[in-house]
Amino acid sequence: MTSPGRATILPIYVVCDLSGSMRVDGRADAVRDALVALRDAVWLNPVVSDQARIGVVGFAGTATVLLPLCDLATVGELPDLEPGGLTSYGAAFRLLRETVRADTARLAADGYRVFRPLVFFVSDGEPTDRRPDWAAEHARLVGRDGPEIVAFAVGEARAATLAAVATSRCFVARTDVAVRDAIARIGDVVIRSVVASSVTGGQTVVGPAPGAFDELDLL
Amino acid sequence: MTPFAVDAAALRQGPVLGRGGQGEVVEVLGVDLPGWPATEHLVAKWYLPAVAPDPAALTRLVSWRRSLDDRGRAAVDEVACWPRAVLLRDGRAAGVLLPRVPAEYTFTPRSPSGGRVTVLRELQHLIAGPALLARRGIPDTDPATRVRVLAGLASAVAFLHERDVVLGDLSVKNVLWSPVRGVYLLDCDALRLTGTNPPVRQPNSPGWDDPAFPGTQNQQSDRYKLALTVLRVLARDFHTRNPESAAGALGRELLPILRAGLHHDPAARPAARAWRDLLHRREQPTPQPKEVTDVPKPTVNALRGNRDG
Repeated sequence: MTSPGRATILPIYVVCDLSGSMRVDGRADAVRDALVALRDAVWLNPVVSDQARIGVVGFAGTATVLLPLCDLATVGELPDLEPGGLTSYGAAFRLLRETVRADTARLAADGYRVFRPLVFFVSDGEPTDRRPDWAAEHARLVGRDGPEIVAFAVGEARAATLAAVATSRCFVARTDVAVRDAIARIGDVVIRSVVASSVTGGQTVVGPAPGAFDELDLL
Repeated sequence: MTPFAVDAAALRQGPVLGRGGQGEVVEVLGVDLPGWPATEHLVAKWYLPAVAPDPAALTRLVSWRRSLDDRGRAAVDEVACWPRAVLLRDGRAAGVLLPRVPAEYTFTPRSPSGGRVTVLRELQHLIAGPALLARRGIPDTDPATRVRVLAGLASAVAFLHERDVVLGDLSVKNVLWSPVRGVYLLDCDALRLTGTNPPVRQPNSPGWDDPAFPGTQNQQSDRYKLALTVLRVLARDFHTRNPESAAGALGRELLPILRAGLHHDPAARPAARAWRDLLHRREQPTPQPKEVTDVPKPTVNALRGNRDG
């Protein structure tokens, strides 16, 4: 049993595009491999179990909570990823807002203090819903008490679009890097950020190793 | 004389061993310089371009170790991953040559994916409670081992403090321990000597910050972090700053020194050598059991009463 009360938990969400384009070129497999590596990293670092909870949301035409917020070290089987369909950013932002709100309330009710949640948002394509629609959902998501969003553009996703999604940092994969390799490197970023955040007791985003991504200036 | 700086071209490099926020660590298969001692296993830590280390500060650290006599140098090498030389790339300081972490500070659990992995035995594995460890198949430590490791840490900090070193950042990942050997400090390329700047920006972990020195790090904040480490290791709690939470494991007689160590007034904090002497005494209990009956005995149950996930 834990004795919460004093502990502060950092909720972390991996939000991943699972539209039809993720079926090609081993992209979805790369996401699954990255989740396995993340689970193993959490398992090897007990401090993460103590300080962070991790959830996974997938989106295409609709959005789904693939893995509810949890101590990832306790997860034996990771969810299957079945890409297919459109790319509705609006659906992703709406589900994420509802999920973050419910998770935060539950952690608080359990006696934890809760850091501002951290979201890693990965997309390989442009949204298929209308910009005013997803922009409105995005505004609701990042409003007061909303999460910080680190956004990654890979494949056909445009830098300017993900820059509008990001609230803290935005990384754009270089065109000469295969999308599956870029996804693997995003997995490294998530792992190192999760561990660093747990070690420092706050939100720490460790950027990707040089070579595969460019960071956009959000100002 | 062995040079203070080594060019990348003189290194025979092997595979990348790890990547971190500041750069990557690469195995060194050999250093092709006349007179370079071939006996030590080394690694190269190459900084990311954004880190931009101060070459003079790095050289100071290399020079500090070499200025010690043989005994002092052996003592440092036993407890600290201390830079052997500055590494140059295109004529600029871009990394450091470090000793490889001794095998006693690693262990090889089986990961959930099934493979054996070699993992550094970090302070987090000493603080983590029995449930967090059991879930991972990692053997728990007994109270005597934890006191012995803490005594080793206090000795290492005392030794370095007496020689003008400031540790700066103590974290659950940069202190390694071994049940048979003691402690081993990582990230020593980020340390500084009193009165000088560190080679690279020292992180200040919010969970370990010293309320008296929110923006700076010095030997007094090291004392605070040493006391916080003693508290958290004995209480098996990653968060606590409350001395009472270690009372069961520490014995009430040690509460005053713990309170002093965590005092907001830096002048009240005991030096690392006071912790060293006290913990070494605890490590070797007096052979007459009668003399210790008034000290609450550290029990496994007392330790399990705390956060363990």
